[in-house]
Amino acid sequence: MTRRLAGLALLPATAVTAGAATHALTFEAALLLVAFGLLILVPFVPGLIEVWRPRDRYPLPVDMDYVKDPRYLGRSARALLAAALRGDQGPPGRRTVTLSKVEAVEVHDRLDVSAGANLSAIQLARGPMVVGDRATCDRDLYARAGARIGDGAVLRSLACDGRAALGRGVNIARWLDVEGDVHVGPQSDLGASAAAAGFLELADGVTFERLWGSPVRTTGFRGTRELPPAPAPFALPDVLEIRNLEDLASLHRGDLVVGPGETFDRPLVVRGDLRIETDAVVDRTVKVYGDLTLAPGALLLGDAFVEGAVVVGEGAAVRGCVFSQRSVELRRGARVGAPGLVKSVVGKRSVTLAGDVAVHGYVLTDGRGCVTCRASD
Amino acid sequence: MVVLILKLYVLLVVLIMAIYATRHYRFTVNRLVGDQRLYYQDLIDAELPRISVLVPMHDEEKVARQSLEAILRCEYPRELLEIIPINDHSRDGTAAILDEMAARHDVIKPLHRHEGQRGKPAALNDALLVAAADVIIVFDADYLPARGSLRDLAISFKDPEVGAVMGRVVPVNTRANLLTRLLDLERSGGYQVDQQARHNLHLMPQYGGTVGGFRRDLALSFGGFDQRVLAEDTDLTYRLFINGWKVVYANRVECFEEVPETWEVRSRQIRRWSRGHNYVMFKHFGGLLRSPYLTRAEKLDGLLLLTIYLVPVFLLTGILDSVALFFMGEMQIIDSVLVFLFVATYNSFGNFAPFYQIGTASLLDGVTHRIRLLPFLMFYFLLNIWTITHGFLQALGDRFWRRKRAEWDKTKRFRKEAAA
Repeated sequence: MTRRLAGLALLPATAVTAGAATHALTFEAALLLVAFGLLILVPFVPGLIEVWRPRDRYPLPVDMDYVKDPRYLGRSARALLAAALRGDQGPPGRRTVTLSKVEAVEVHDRLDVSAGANLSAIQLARGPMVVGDRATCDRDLYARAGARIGDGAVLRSLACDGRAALGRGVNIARWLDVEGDVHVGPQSDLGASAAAAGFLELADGVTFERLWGSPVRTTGFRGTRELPPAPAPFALPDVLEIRNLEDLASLHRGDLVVGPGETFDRPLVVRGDLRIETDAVVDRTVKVYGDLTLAPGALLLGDAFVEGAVVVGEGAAVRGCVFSQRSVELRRGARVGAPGLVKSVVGKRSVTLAGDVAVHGYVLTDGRGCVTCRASD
Repeated sequence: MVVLILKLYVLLVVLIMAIYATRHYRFTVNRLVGDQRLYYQDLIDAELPRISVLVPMHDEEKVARQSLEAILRCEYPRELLEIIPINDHSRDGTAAILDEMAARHDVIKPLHRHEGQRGKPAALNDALLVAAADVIIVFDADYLPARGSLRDLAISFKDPEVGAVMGRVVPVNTRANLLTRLLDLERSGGYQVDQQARHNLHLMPQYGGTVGGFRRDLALSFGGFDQRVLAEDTDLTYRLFINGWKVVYANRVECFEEVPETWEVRSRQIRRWSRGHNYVMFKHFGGLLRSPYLTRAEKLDGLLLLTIYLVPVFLLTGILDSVALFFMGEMQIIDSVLVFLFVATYNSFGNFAPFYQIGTASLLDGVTHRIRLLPFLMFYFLLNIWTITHGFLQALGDRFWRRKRAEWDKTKRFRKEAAA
């Protein structure tokens, strides 16, 4: 036992009994112990400093006022500017205001920006705004009436209280928010967010991340389409009869093809691919682990929650939301939602819209969104 | 023979630690560089489900008003909302506060309980019988939800496979002392990395009993919450997964909570969790393995989650085992190279992995200086080893003596004054 305890104290066993060498060895051992203690202590030093003089002791920030609002950027920019100008009805001219930092605001009754001009202050037009071709502005633009943006203009962001028309190849770095209707010209880039209280019409080649409109529609739009009403809710069985998922949903392991005339009395969960054939109608919500394909003319009256890719074929329609962890492609004539019935299309990696497509509500992708482009574009 | 058993047990403990270390790494790497699955918060939908918000309260006069006002501030169609604060045998002014608020707000419909068993499972069971909605959202009495929380939680039930949803809790009283700061780090690791990674990897995110919700009919069909279980949230998680439903995690749905400010209160809390969780382990171990709805990955993750409160028990007994072998002069377990590998693996991964996970969580949360406190978690883990083992022993007692009910130990509140 003595030998073992000596070992614990980092002393050779011989040191316990060898009298003459004990002092030197004890000193060495003490030195080792001190070094050991210091090395143990070292990792705690930064922590001790943080305890003594805290630099990071506050709770993680939680935005208690956060609510999902697709027009948040435009609304908050308007509110900030209104607060900074405090109802300023003075003559046109330059003001200095404090927003998130001190900024210059140029106030106009009507703004006409010549082609190729370069603006570096916030522009507020009380009347119409016309921005010439290839003009650039690296601060926000705010038009209290309509706005017309010329071809190839490069803007940071645009808020407009009237109707807006964007020419070909307009590039918006951050956001677009319009109280009326919007026409977006071909090959334009809408930045992080584009929203309109009216319709938001996109020409070919437009790229985007988030869209909001009533509806969001693409070139060649041929009018809204009447969809059948939602089916009566699934009549839940008596609580005591519910044992597992299959009591509340129709579960299919593997791929499933739904043809015309097939009906379902409860939601569908498909652990494979799901294809809804031409003119077939699925009147329930679907959860699909593989890909979901709606053939031309097919109709889905519920929502679609999909782990794989979604293709809504030509003239097909979804009454509910479309949510994909991969990609969503809406082909010519496809419809999502209905007038007055706000729904969403979310495709994590991409959303591709063809011509004559309408989404009544919201479109979002974390990846690439575009109109009539190929995945390789 | 005894020595052989002790040696084999040491190897078993090292193996268990290596498995859990690998799990920690898998989750952390996923959060750093892996594919991140979306939650449903980005869906905007005109058709939302009707919801009942349940808030169990026992002697909560310090926090009741503030909590209900926070829920009232939430944006959700009023015609689809009811709030049911459950006055669970309160002896303070909780009942008066609830009645006064109900008089001012139609959506608040208090449920007063003065009879029957006290405790969260029993309170929820009574409330489930009076709730009018299909979707139940639960907040603890000290929680302060953000304005978008109800919508962001409820939207997930549009997915027909979702049985429950869980949001993220964020400690609000981190400034109080070192313990609250350590709990803040632990929560970050648990939610920002652990829960989100399990959501990403199609594994088993856990319903945590608050800042979350579930389908009313499912809970009722399971016979309500088991009143013998102190971890009714874990119990529901396993019942759902075993029967084919999913639990989804909503990292963006954040809610402030108050964490214990004294080591004694924290010890009691974690002992209760350990007791409840280990009881659930005994209850669902077989069902998990037999479930026809779960993938192999889900079963493995479910198994590791189910036995997670056993790990400190293994670690404590493994340490005692090692000490015994040391004094018996029997530390030569197998060839030294293998011993070296085991020890090196454990020191590199077993000890380090949780810290790596928590450090990564802090990085993802965008905070920096608090990472300096990571080494102090060692002391916290040492405390956990003992308290969790204690809870495990209590769960064993519950199991073998087949206790009909467990005494609910309410976590002490530290808030000084309720907001007027």
